[in-house]
Amino acid sequence: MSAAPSADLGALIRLLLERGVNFTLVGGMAAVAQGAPVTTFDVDIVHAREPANVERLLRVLTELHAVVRDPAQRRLPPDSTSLMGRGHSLCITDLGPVDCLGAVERGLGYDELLPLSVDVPFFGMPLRVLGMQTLVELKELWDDEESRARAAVMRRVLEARRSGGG
Amino acid sequence: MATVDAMAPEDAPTHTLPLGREARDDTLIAHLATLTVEERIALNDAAVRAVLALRAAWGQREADALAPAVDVGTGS
Repeated sequence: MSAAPSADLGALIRLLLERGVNFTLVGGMAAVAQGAPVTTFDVDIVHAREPANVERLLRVLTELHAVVRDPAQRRLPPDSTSLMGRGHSLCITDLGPVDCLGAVERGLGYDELLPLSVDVPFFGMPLRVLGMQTLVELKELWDDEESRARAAVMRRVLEARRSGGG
Repeated sequence: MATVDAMAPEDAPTHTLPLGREARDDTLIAHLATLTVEERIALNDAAVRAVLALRAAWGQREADALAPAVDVGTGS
């Protein structure tokens, strides 16, 4: 992906929470939130695909002038039909990139990820993040060099946590 | 006073950065565990902005070549 010219991913997550969007944070930012020494250029969320929640999400995206990252370089706004599906809407916003995922690996959607997620405090609000164990397992499904490196780092966080060191 | 390089390993101050990627990861993990979620995400954002600034100044290829040296990924 190409990075946005600016990035305030914390503000992006905060706005989603303040506007009542139901989502689980996944991907690199979920690892960052749980203390993994990795860096990510985007926010990946799996959102609840209920009409009211999709409407709230779409309002935030519209407010942030989101456009879908399109291989043909077209500037298409995200739409509720796509956000209601299990596919991925990969957007660029004023605050940085956000990938709105209907489902992740193994076809896991918001409802399936709930029992695998934990709430962490973020500016006084509960931020739901996919647990580190599942993050590692999903990352290990990929066979590229970066994924293997990230999975190894995230596994060290898990080990440090279990030994009381992290 | 002896420099760190001149010291025997057992005499080195405890705040000397350990060598090797795994040791550095462990140091970072221990440090990040002491931070709030807000602080962790703010650190990520600062690192991203630094890389974006480097890309703007030097070009993406040169900036991304430097990124591993400062433990910053280049995004995926």
